[in-house]
Amino acid sequence: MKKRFLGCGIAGVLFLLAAVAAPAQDFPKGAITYLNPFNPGGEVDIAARAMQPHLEKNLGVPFVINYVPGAGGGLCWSKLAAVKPDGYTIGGFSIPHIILQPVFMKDVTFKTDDFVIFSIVEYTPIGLGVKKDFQASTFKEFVDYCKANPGKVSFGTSGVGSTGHLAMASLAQEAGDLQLTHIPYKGGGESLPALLGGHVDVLSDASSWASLVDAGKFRILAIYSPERSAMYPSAPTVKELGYPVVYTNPLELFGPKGLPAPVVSKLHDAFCKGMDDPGFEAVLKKLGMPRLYLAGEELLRSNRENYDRMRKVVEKLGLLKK
Amino acid sequence: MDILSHVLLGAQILFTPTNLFFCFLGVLMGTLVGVLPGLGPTAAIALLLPNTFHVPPVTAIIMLAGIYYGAMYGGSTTSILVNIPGEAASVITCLDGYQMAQKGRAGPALGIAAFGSFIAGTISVLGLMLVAPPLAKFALAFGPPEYFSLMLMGIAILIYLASGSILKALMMAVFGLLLGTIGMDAISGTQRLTFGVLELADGIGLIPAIMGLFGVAEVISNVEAEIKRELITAKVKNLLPNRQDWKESFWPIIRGSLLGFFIGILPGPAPVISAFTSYAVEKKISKHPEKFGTGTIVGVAGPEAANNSATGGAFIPLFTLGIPANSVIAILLGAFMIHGIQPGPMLISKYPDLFWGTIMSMYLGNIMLLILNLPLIGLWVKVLKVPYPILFPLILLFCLVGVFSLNYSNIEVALMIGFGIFGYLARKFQFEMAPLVLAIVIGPMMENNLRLALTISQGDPAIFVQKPISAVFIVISILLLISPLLPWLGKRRKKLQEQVEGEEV
Repeated sequence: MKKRFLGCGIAGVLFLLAAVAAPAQDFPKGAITYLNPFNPGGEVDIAARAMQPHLEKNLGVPFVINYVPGAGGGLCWSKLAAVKPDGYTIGGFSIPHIILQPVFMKDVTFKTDDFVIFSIVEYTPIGLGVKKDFQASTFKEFVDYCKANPGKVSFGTSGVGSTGHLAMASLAQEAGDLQLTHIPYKGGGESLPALLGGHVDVLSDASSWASLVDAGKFRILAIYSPERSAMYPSAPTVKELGYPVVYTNPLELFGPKGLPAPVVSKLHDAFCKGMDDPGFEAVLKKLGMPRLYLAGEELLRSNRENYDRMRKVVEKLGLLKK
Repeated sequence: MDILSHVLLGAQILFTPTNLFFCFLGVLMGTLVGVLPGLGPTAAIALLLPNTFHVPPVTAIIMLAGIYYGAMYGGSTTSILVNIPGEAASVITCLDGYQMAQKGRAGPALGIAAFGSFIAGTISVLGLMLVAPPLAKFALAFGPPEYFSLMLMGIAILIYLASGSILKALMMAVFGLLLGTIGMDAISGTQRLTFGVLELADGIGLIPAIMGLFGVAEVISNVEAEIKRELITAKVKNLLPNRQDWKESFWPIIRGSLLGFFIGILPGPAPVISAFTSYAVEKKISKHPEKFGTGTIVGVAGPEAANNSATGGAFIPLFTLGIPANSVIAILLGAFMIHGIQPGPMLISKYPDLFWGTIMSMYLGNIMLLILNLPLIGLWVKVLKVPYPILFPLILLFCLVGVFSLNYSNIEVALMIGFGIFGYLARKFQFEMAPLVLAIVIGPMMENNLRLALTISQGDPAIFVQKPISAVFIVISILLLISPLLPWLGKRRKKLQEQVEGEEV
């Protein structure tokens, strides 16, 4: 708890970076619009709607959720980068999309630097796993198996440039240039049956596999999170196995660049308070999302690192936009 | 015995005032969003999801599932009455349903759609109850090569969707396939033919295309043509299918139900594909294929049964594996998680109350839908009496609102209007819409799976015939393509024979 408040304090440093605009002490005076980059009903939406009542209570104004789905979120962020930075229009986003899209999608009109980020709310773990009867039952055996069968092992992900794709590509590089075949599906709804049906050997994807672990049909070889997951404590992290590969799918809250500092700090504090609410915590727990708090310099540094790292991977994969 | 105790458990859960009420609420809302063009079950379920936080999970699922299968009942209404599909799955119903209405038989068309949906709904719930686990394995056997071959078969049935010129139908199909290439290439991430319009990154939306091609185009053509409407309304007599209708429709409904159920298990837009397939099958085996497109009841019964039972089939991967077969089921999956239920292979054994409660609610929901929809027929037929100057602006309004409500995108509204103008012109030149719609659905899936399959096989096309399921589909496709030639060849031989005989004489 103490640490979080400290974090909230540090966050102020970031806000100095925001350009000083009109006095915004009396913010907020009217409704705040939150742009949701994905369709209603998804995890991002559910988390945002669980947060909504707390924000309305903490800020004392209506908090309206608008949906701007399309282009994997790119549409929403292109819009948000262009709105007036007064704090009345903010949005949510997830990494790596916001970092990757400006790097390899031709039509998006925003840059990663166009936004001020208040805080990270939660993240979904990304993992690497196989079907129960796969030849390799541990991560080490898997790496050995890949080395023994170059080009034979296929991995499924939920799409080109998805976190699972980048993570696996980085890992293959770190583990001694493993030759793997990438099979990009469209979302976890396609990649999961592909693994169960034996159409791909390995799955490198967000936690859509969670339900199969309990049923004993899926074996997690490792997860890409910085720390072991509370839900799957027996699964090692890739990092602890000796490969410097860390990926998560965090959900962050942010606004356009140029937000006045007092506005940012007010929004940030309201979010902080909402996160501490037991009701919100309960929703995250049900979704299986570990709560993560990052703000201020720490967050800025983490995003900068992510950007440099992911850009390199994307470049290596030949996905950079021309 | 085991089943019986489960059924009793389900009934116990269902027959509480709350659950009965929510079941009714679900199917009622489903019927409504089904009837309104553009507004679909996906949007309705997504928006209502947070409102179910406060009720027990089984109650929430009962209601949300009701919206889903309820929408399939309502979808055919506008197809039949005004030639505008309420859902993508009801596109094919326009072909014969609207013609029936033109002949004053809107009542029997609506009636057979409701009865067909009811029978199909019941069959698919029975299937879900009895054979869910083995069928889930069947769904898993489908990988990229199998999907590609299935889609190939979809292209092969295209020729049965045309009631006019085959050449024009194929032209529309090719155009649809081309439209399907717009958007982000799923294998390399490159954006194709988007012209800097970010909204096109996800490709051409199916709903804006359908709303334009059918809804907007219908309104434009009717503004142009002063139709002799008195004629239509005057003739509306019996509201229910007669004995002859039943005789003709019974087997198509059964076949459509089975077909829809099996296709429904596979991920993808199953209700749409199954309805198209059912129409093609009925036309193929019919003794009077020439009647299709002129208002035969068979053309309504089969597809309407198929799209309904496809919704039941889609629940199988959800309940047995925790895998969403389409976007509606994906939202239901989210609903499970919100309520702290871990979907997956253990769901049925871990939460028998949820599974059997939902199953029982589907039985009852289907009965409710039948009771709800039959009296509505009389009301719907009256819609035809609404003067066109009032009806058409309303239709246009519903189309605009419906399309906008999908993604809140102005570009999609503009797309719909563009499709409307295109559809109007295409109609003038006797081009048909059904092949175009099917090609838009199939195109991206076909391309994607072709490339994934070849990636898996490392470029070896033999994978399509080495996999048994895929090989079967390919053989069927070839047979389908050859079969129309057979009678032609036969006739030609006969002609030649006659010629030879003639020369001899």
